[in-house]
Amino acid sequence: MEITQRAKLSLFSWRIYNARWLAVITVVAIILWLPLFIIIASLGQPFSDNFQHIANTVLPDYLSNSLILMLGVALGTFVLGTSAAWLTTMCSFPGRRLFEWALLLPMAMPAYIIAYTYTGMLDFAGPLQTFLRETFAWRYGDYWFPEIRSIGGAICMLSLVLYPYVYLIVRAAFLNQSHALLEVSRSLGNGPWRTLFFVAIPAARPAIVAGMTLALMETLADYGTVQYFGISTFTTGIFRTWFGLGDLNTAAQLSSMLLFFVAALIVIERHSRSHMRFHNTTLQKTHLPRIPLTGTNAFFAVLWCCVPLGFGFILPATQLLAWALETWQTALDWSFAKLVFNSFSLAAIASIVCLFLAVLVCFAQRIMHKSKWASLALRAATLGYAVPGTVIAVGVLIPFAAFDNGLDRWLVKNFSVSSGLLLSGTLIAAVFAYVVRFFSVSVQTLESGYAKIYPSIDHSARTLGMRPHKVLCKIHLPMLKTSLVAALLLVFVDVLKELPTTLILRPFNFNTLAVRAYELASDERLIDASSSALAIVLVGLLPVLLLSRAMNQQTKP
Amino acid sequence: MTIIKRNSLFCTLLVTSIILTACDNKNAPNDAADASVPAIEQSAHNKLETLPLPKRLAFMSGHVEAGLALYRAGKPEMGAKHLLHPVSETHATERVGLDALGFDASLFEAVSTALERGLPASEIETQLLAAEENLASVAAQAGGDTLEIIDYLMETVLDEYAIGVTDDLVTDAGEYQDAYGFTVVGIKRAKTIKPQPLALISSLEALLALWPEAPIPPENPATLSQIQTQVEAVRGELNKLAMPASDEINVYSARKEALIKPLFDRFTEQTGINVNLVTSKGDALLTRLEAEGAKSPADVLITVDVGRLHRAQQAGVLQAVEIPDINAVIADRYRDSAGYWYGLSLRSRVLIYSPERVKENELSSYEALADDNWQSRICIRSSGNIYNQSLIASFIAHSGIESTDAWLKRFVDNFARHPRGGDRDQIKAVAAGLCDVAVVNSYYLGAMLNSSNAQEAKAAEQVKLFWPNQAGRGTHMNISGVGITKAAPNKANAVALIKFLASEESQKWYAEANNEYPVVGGVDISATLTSWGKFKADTLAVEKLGELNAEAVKAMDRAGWK
Repeated sequence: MEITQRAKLSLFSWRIYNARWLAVITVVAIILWLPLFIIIASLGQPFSDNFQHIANTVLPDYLSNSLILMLGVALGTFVLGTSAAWLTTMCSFPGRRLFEWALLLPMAMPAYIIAYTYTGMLDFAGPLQTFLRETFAWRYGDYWFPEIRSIGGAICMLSLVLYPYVYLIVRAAFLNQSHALLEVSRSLGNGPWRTLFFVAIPAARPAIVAGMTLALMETLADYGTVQYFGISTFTTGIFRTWFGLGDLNTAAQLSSMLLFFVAALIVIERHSRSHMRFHNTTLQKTHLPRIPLTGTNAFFAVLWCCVPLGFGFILPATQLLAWALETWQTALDWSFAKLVFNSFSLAAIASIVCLFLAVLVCFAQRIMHKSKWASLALRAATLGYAVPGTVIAVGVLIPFAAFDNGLDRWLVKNFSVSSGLLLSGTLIAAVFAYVVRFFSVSVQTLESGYAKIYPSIDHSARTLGMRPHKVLCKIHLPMLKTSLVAALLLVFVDVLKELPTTLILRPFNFNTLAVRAYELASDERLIDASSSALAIVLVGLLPVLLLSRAMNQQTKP
Repeated sequence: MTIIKRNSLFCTLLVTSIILTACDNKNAPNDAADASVPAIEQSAHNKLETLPLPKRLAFMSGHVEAGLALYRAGKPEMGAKHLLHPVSETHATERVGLDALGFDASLFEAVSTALERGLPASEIETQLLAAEENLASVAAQAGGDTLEIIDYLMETVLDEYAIGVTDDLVTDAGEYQDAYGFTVVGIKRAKTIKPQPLALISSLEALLALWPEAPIPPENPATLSQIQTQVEAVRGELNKLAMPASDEINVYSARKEALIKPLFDRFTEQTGINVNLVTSKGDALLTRLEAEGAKSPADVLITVDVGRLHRAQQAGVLQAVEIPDINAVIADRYRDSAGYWYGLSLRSRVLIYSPERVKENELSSYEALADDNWQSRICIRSSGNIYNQSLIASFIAHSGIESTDAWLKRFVDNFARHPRGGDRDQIKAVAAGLCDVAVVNSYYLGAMLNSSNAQEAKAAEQVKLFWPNQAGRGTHMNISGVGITKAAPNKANAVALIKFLASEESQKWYAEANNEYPVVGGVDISATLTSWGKFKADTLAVEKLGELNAEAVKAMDRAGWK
């Protein structure tokens, strides 16, 4: 009797909490949606002649190139990321422990930097082709060589730096996969390949999709690589409209269309797996014995892992190092140390804020899992990732400046005090923009972690009278540890590489490594840019190493 | 206050009337006469003709002040000489520009006639008032930097005192008295500054006190070195005032940090003004300026092409500022006619060719690159690039949209490959044999020639530069430039920065650091630029390029230029 009473009471209080958490999710979503709303509001403006001109001349080109690019990167990141995750979690072969973390390294490489680097090496006028021509006395047209600055080249570049998203999230999924599932598969006579394709991959689908969604949104938002390669995509089109035609409104209208396109993709994807749920029932993990690979198999496993690592990191980093050695005397001084500090602290602040909000919102959604509104609000708040940073920055710039000017006028009117611009041109604006842009990264990572925690755990906790924040702190957070670290790291590295938002919103005299690297690289001074580019990679290594440690700790009880 | 104003106007009035008298009547009694004018006066006199009008007015006033002081001290016969003094030195050229400022000679003729007849001042009061009002408007129009004028007066005080007093005795009373008059004018001018510069005024008054009996020559005049010391003190005060109120300036720059920061560092060294910098893309900075509105902290916007300056002007975020010093050195076509923006450096878009595969005489103009013999031989970067957009805008400006469209179609057909990469990549492609001619900005070739990277330098040496359209309109030029924002909180510093960026030192730097051409004529250019020889630049006003930019982009889209 007594027990029933208490249970009722706590169920009642959960309803009150529900309302509070719904408020949390709504407020966060609205704030994060503000910049996107500013962009979408452009659709309310009349469509100009410029829009007509674009639709008549270049739009089909933009669309087809963007689609080809996305398909290519989807395939590339899926193959590289999933296979690497499978090999390092399920098989044992020489160097596996090393690959486990080293395969994350390409993530620290900004896409435009790898694009510049490969162009420097493989272009027609580059050292390799020049060497070939001189050795064999060839001339232009005498031989075939893959053109790096093509759509295929762009797919390769983006796949090489974006596959770690898939690798990281899928690997966590494989590690947490109910071992019983795989055990059953194997005991039923499925070989490792069949288990991979028919059990492990389908069961890891939420994680794979989460990773690929991130990679594809990043692809859509990419400007540096495609612009340098001369590929007209939707993003280059947006900037061409803004910079070339001087028509920000039409550019914003194009951006809104991009947003709807991404939203549609997400909805379709969600719908297609709406009935599939894979959960873990326990915190306990007894890892399946790894499949030992020997001889030829081991050789191919090593070779396979070397491909993304070598092309995505070692080769370009070596080239950067070689260039940096030519110029480091001029590049390294105190101002350089300041750049490192700025980049690091900005990335740290932004990733912590992102993580904090993501935990709040994901937990709220967990509690409200039947609420359509909660899920819609959350989805909407994560769209920013597919929008080019420059466009997000404009979406942040306008409301912040409006707020500042409004506040200033109000203060002057009522108190004869001028506040000037309070938030515009401060790091607060920049950090806010990062959160809008990278919120998706932390949410996707956390969600795929949450997906593996069986809801009955929550139900049990509820029945036992645990309050929501206790459930979060005592049960969810410990179970989500890997995902939390992953979410933090991913945003950290993303902000470290982030360029356009920083460029527009930063305060006076505030430089980051990415800004320095970009300024020099875009002035076609790649060699001078190498020190900063290399530093981004090195600073990015630190969290990568931390993450791999966290992952290892979790696999070893 | 009114008294002071009326007084000083009265002086100017007298001078003017005397000048007029002298001109009307060539036989006026100038007994002190030209023959006795000392050498120093002659040189000051020669200098006078080239002086700006506000300084000439101050110079005349100085002589008249001396005369008035003597008149008041009861020495009318001594004073008359001074009142007539300027007449002997005056030429019509000295009054150039007065008429344009609304100077009404007839009013002064009336006054001078009255004075000649020896009428008492009370009888000509109405005439004086009318003339005074006229002069007030002339003086307001003439303007001039008061601090500069006082500085000029101090220079003149020293010159004249050095003649007036030798061996601690007054050897030339006239010059001694003139120096006194200039100091009086200096005090009067200083009092017109708002808020009143008390320290400056008291230092000037201390200087005036060095004339023990005012303009009347004493037995023991102050020594020249005493005067010099006090003049230095005055100049110290002037410098303090000339230093702008704030010691910083905020810059939004589309010019990359590496290509502008060294100049700013130099500026800070010279002026003590700290430069705060944000660099970004031009349009992004423009959007930021627009959003920030009237409270924007930015003082100046620096861009690397004229199109963005034009857009900023259209968006209403710039203000027109006349900087006469700069207007004198930068050609009209490289700055906005109303002063909304000023060009800082020139960027020429040239042809690069392989001397192995192309003879120089095969090249002539941009237009000729559309001819059939260039089929698959041309490299150029994407149409998203602003310098290509400007180039096509110049085509539209010169020959209209239809002929540009037709030309573009044939030109794009001649591309050796889909446009990709930057300008350096096009140069390398020519060196490597992928194409024969490339259209690039000349400074990229300069950077490659001077590159520390051996491969780049080698590639650059394999190609040659050609100045297109020398027989016609000239080679296409764009500018990097600067405009002062409407919200500028440190406008005086902004003007100082622009002056610095247009100074010879800075102009030289553009050439040395980035192989750009100076906008100011007669500045030494780097060895690399010299090696490319002289050329004829397109005389099209660059603001046209800004106006036609969007048209150019659309034309390129229609022609399928990726």
